[in-house]
Amino acid sequence: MSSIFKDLRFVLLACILVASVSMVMAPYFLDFGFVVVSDVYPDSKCDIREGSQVSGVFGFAMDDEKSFERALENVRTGDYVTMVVDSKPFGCEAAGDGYLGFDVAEEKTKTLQFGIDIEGGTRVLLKPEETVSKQQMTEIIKTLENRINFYGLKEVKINTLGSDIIQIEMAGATGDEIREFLAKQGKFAAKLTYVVRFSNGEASFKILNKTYEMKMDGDGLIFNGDSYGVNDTIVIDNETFQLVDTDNRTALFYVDVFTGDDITNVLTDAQNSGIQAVGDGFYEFSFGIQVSKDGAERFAKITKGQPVTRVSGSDRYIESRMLLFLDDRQITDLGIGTSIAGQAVTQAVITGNEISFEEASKEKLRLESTLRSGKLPVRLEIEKVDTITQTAGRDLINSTIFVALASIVAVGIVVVYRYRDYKIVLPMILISLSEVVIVIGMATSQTLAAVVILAAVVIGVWKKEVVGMVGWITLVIMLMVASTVAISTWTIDIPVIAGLIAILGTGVNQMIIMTDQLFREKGKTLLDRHKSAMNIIWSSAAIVVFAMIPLILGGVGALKGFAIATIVGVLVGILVTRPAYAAIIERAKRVHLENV
Amino acid sequence: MELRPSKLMFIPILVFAASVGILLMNYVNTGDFIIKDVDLKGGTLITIESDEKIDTRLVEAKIDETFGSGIVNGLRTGSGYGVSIQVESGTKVSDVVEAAESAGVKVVDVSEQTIGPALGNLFFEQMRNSLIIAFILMSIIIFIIYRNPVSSLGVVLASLGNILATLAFATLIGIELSFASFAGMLMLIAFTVDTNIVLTSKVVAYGSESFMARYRKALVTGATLTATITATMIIVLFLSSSKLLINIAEILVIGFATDLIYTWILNAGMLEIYFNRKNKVHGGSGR
Repeated sequence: MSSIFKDLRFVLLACILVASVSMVMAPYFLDFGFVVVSDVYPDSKCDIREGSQVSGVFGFAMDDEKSFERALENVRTGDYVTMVVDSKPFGCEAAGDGYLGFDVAEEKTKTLQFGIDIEGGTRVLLKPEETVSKQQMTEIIKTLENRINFYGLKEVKINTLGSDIIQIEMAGATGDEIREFLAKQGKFAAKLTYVVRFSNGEASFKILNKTYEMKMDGDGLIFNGDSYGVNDTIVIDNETFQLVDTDNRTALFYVDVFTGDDITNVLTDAQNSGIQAVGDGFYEFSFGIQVSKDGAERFAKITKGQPVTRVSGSDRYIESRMLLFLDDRQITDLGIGTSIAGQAVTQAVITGNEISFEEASKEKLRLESTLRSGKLPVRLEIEKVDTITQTAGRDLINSTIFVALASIVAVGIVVVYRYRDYKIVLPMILISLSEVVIVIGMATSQTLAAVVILAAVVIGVWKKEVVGMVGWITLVIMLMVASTVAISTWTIDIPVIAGLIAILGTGVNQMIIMTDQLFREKGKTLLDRHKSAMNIIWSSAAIVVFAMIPLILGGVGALKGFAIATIVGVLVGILVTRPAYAAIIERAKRVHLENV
Repeated sequence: MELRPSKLMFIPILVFAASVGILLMNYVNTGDFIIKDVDLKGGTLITIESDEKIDTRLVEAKIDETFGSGIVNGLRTGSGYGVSIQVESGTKVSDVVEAAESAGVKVVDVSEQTIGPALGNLFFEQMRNSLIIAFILMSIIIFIIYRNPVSSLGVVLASLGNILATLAFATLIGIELSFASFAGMLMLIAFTVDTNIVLTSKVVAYGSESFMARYRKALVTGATLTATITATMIIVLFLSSSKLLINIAEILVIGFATDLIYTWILNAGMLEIYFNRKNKVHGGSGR
């Protein structure tokens, strides 16, 4: 009897299993010896980029976030801190006590990616308020992606479900961040206030040397023979005036100057943007925008020739003010100095106040990102929000691991009761476990996934493991599904874990069928029995795969992970672990083959 | 006297009729064949965690009184006790929590899951279509594998009966079907076809033994399959705190019970009648 270690079926399983275990365990044993800069704050005095590797601070080696904190323990504001960054000497001044103005994180490579239902995070489903064309949908997604990139959010996934549902998932982000920023339409408008003064119920005002006349009419007014009420718009010399308020002596208008479409550039460099404390604990942020020529000329037209109405120190302001709106909410109110009144100014400043430095920098970034990405073609409605806290997710995965182990024990009890033979039961349980470990390994590393799929298929085809036409069709489909795992990262979420349990189920099922087929049928050669066992197993695999296909092709992605995990498991099962199981028990039971 | 499957075929036929009856009754009463959960019909699900025991009946009475209707269920939670309250979407969460408090619930933590009715309906349609497509694909594969109308029809009918019986039983005992329940139904198709394939392969493959001998051999293997999966699912049902896993497990436990009737009586009975008739025609050894 030849050694099991020379049987290709067993050797293949052993190699893949060892590779999977080492991939899954690697992060727990490897020490990278550096930490990575994860966030740089505007108040940092260090000229450092995100992603830089910090390997030493004051000569201390960096292993994790803790060692970084420890090294900075006694640093006071203004101290000079020496470091080794990207293998080069580096140094800068501390921005605060024990604070350099940037955060570091441990290097995390080749670890499992967990979904938000485990890691914690938010999943939101958005639906356009009106029917959108395919093109508009593409535009919406593009705009959302731009916003996310400009904002610097990480681990955000945007998908479409069906034709008009957008799914956004953010690990470690809050529902508010999606509600208040991402899903906002981002409709920007700059308007000038314009005041018309009446005496005895009549007024005359000049725009570009042309004189216009108006009359009071209760709460409204009369212009060119037509009467207008509050919120009505009047077009005067091609410009849109919206009547906002009247009292018996004045009428206040908002004049449209420019919209988001007129913004040609958002200026966020140090010269044009910043955050400063303005007293009372408030922080004011500001950044510049560049405006198209049309917008600038409209500004000039309305502000030209307006008299000075306010003086503050050496600054003199005209009556019109510039108001900036985002989604109909006023964000900025700017006085207009005489030096720019009547000029075609192509630059404006957006400002705002927040109660903390952090809030101010967040709000600044939100506005900048929204303006850069432009507005969404339609408004989005929030259809579904799920927020999972990290502890809830962790509890769930711990309880699920416990459940999985208990399930294996339950399976063990059933097969022990049925076979009462450790030579069958032990391989069966261990092989089921190894199947799950291999699938987890494939989720850890795309390279491993690719190698496993390739090796399994090449050796499977070479050793003639594929049975029948249905078998070949199933193999092709499994390959197509499994290759998605090899080319994109695979996130482990609860549906995937459900898939792992399904793998356990199909795996044990197939091994029971194989065992009974090999040892409980009389009169045929081992080869014949092996063949009929493989027939049944391929049929069973085909059914599982085809039952899962609607979930992968269907619009709702919620159970895609479940289907993919199951199919990958079936692929590994039928080409790697099932042949290995056959190799083991055919040897183990050869002596008393007919007596089971 | 031994119980031959062909003599027991009235059981699956009765079960089939009862299943269809239950589903139709539910349709007449509620407008839906099955009971849908929040995922599939839209609504707001509010989960309240508490560190004190909750009288769900009291809560249910209060919710019914305040909002007209609502579904209240007791829960297992990490911190101790919990209750889930399902109301129409658009109901204010704070109002529901207030109602629960007035019914004596000590509120520790509240979480909310809301889904619009239009979206819920879309999800339902997609899951229903997935189930139908999976069933059709399965039937095609079975016909390709067997190329024999009787063996194929046996498997397909058994699977159809099993799906209907599982849905009907779930409806009868008030299980709300979610996304995950449909995933469970798909797994059920796959797993029950396994038992049918085992039955058919064993009965077809060995002509020298009697039908009943072959049937018993298949039954031993099939029972082992059913026992292992059922054992796993019962563990999930009783130990897991994941709604998704519990929903899958409920369906599989019910489905495997009804599978016993459809595979081992209906499909087996059809195969028995078919092979006996074939053997009489060819003058072979029948039993």
